[in-house]
This record gives sequence, structure tokens and C-alpha cells, in this order.
Amino acid sequence: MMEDRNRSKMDVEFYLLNRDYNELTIDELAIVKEYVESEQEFNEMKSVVVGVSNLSKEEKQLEPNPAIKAALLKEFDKQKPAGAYWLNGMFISLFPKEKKLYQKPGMQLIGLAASVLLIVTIAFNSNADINNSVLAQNEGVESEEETVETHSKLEIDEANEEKNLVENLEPVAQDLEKEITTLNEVAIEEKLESVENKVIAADFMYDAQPIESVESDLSIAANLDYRSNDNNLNESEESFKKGISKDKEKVATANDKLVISAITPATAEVIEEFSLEEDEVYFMDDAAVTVGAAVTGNNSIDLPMYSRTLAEDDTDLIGILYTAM
Amino acid sequence: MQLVKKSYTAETDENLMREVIKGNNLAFSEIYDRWSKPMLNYFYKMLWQDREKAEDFMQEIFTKIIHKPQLYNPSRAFKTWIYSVANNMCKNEYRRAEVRKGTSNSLHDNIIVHDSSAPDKEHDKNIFNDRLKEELELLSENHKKTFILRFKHDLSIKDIAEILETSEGTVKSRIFYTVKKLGKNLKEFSPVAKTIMVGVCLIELIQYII
Repeated sequence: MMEDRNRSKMDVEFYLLNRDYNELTIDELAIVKEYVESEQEFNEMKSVVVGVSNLSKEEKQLEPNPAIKAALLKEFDKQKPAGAYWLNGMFISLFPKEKKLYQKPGMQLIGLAASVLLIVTIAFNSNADINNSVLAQNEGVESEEETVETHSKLEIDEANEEKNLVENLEPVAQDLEKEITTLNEVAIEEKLESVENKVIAADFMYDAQPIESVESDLSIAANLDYRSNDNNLNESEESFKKGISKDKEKVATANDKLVISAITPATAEVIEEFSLEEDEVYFMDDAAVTVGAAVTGNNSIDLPMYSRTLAEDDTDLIGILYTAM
Repeated sequence: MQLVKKSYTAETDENLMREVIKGNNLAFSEIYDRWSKPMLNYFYKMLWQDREKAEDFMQEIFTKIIHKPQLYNPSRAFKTWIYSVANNMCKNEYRRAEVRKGTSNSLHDNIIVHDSSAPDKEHDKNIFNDRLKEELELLSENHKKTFILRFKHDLSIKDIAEILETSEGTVKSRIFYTVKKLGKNLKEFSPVAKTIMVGVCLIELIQYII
């Protein structure tokens, strides 16, 4: 029986193939009668359709000659546009489609090249250990150099800033120094006057003489031990003043404080001339220039002690100066 | 890239033709394997059962595919396309045959002359086949092609309409007309006729005995 896949029930063929005239329903008969006049005609047509269908199934199909396929494939290979170019022809010969992947000459060549490349790469990498470590160190040195350059720049900047600051503060410091010097001179003069007064007073005390006669005694001063020296009091005073004026600008530093003293060894010698006893004490200290003379005994005379406290009044000014330096 | 040789047996005809257009000879080989036999038999039926001519035409149609594969539109079914190409080739051959017939003033050599009066062939399948071939040769080209495509190659009405570039109604009409005509010309092979013939024979036999 012929396959019905290409036939619908609306086609007369379907009823011709699958029904006898007597088997048709009323609806099917109505469809058939649109095309077929009688039962006889239906049967004649049915015989043709069934006969043809049976023949088609039983009919021996012709087989094409195999030589035709070979000729056509040859023609197809000739017709390929790729064959027109020698490079494409080489590609086709390297990668023939008929062969499996691992059988293609091109793939075999690629595999060989990859193997050689791998071996060469491994061989070169095995000798490059030391160089690699050197390269790593060089990278570190470069960074350190950069760091040093940066630091040196910063230091230069800082030095410039300090230089500018010092240049700016230098006039201020000179002014302060002048003021300090002036103040010291004033103070020293005042102290000298007080010392002179004290010396005179001591002389009065020593001689138990009235004040009024002191000056005359001082002017004579011949009966006293110290007056027996070649220098009298006026000479000593003058030398004392000279020593002070010579050394008045000397500045001593100790314990982070600037101490300006007018008492120098030269001054001390002058003071020593006033000492009546041998047990006078003369202090020279590293920490502070402290000059003092103490006269003990009956003829003791207390000399004023010049210390760093001399300049304590000017602490603020000294601090500014120190900062400027 | 494929590790093994690709098989195209599962591919559709349309995909194979796309590969053929690219120059894939394996796809072309698969197309040939699928369609060489149907084409050979179609040409054989359409061109007066001449095997050599059918093989020539079959080779020619595949040569056209090789040289001008771009003529195929992949959006169209390959089956209807190749049959329409074959149909046009047959048309051209019919025209050439008409010219030859006109110049030689004779019938085509391959046309089998119908001898409906041969009673000894009526009950034989081969006889029916021969008679059918004869009747088909007497049909017009369009009716013949329609009938062959429908009953010999089992194509649908729609496909036939596309191949012959006509409407489905026309195809149905042609088929009905052809079947009706063949039924009349081959009515001796119908079951009713056989019964009548048997009855007639039996009557003649009884009369002969009496």
C-alpha cells in the first residue's frame, strides 16, 4: 500500500488507495462524487493508482555508474578556487581534509616545531638563575638610589631654609648682642662701684676709722700691708677697670645658659691684690665661669660672686639669641 | 579543528549545499550519494526510458551543481530545487526532440508504440507496466511529469507545485485528469473488468463444454 504521508483526506487519491467504493461513508462519497461519476470509473481509477503504487515499490531502481561519481569528484576538485593559487595548494597538501588531524602533514610539522621550541626554552631557562637574582638586586638598588636622591633633595631644601632663617635672624641677633653688651657694661660699672664702696667700707672696718678719714687714708695708704705694695688702691682700681673693660665682652656658656661675666683671670688677679690672707678661694668651673674671692679671717672681705645669675634678667633675650644661632 | 573525519550523513541537504558552495568535496560526495539514484530514475522515466541519456542528464545536473553552486538558494528546499532543475532539463530535451521530430518527420525512437490489442499481456504485471509506460508517453509533458513526481517519486502536491512552478490546485487537477484517463485506457486491469473478463471466459468455457 502506498504511503499516505503526502495525501490528505481531501484528495481523491486517498480514497482510491485506501477504500473500496462500497466502504465510503456518506461524507467521503460526497467528496469522491465531485470528481468521479460512477462506481465503475472509481474502480478504474483505483486500479491505476494501486497498480502504479505497487509498481513503484517493486520496480527495480537504476543504479548510477560509479565512474560518474569519480569523474564528478575530479571535476569538483578542479573547480575549487583554492587550487588556483600555489600557496592555497600548498595549504591543501599540508592539511588535506580527507585525513585525520594527526595524520595531516601540517599538524605533524607544527608538533615538531612546538617540541623544538619547548626544548630550547627549557634549556635557556636552566642557565638563567644567577642573572635573575642580579636583576632582582638591581631593581632594589635603583629604588634606593631614588630614595637617596629624594632625601638629598629634602636635606638641601632644609639647609636652604635654615640658611635663610639664619640670614633673617642674624641682624636680630646682632642687635640683641649689642643690647646685652650694653646692659652688661652698665651692670659691671654698677658692680664695680659697689665693690669699690665695699672695699672702702672694709678698709674702714679694718682700721675702725671713721668714714671721713678713709679717703685720706686711701690716698696715703702707706701704713697698710697692701699699701706697702708698689700699687696703691687707685692704681689697682684702674687696672681692675682695665681688666674688666678688656674682658667684658667674653662670653661663657654652661649648662645650656649663656652667662656673660666680666670676671676673667685678669680680673681675679686684681681681686687677689685685695686679699689679705692666703686662704682666698678662686673658683673657675667648667660648668660655669664663676669667679669669687672670699677673704676669711679678721680681715675678711667678701667680694661679689659673678655667676650665671648675672644675666638671668635677660633670659628671654638670651633664649632668642640661642635659637637664632 | 576536527580530530576525526567529519561525517555528513546526518546533515540536511541544505547544509550540505552550503558546504558545497564553500568547496567541500565531502559534502558534494554526500549530496551525490543521496540524489544520483533518484535523478537517474527520474530522467530515465521522463526521457523515454533511455538509460544512457538518463545517465548523461544525471551527470549534467551534478556538473551544474559543481560549476554554479551559488544558483542554489539555501533558503529553499534542495529537493524541490533539484527536481525543478531536472524538470527544466527535460523541457529543453523535449524541445530538442520536437525539433528533431520535425526535421526527421518521424516519431521519437524511444516512444513505445501502444499496442492495446495484445490480449496476452493483460494479466501480467510486466504487461501492466509496459502499458502504463506507453500511456504515460502519450500524455502531455505537464501531466506526465505531475503523475511521475506524484506516484513514482512520492512528492507532495505542494512540492510538485513548487517544482513545476504552478499552483497546488493545478497539480491536483492534472493528477486527477491523468488518473482518470489512465483508468479508462487501462480499464482492462481494473478489478471489475477482471471479474467481468473472468465471467465472460467462464461463460465461453461453459458454452464450449455444452
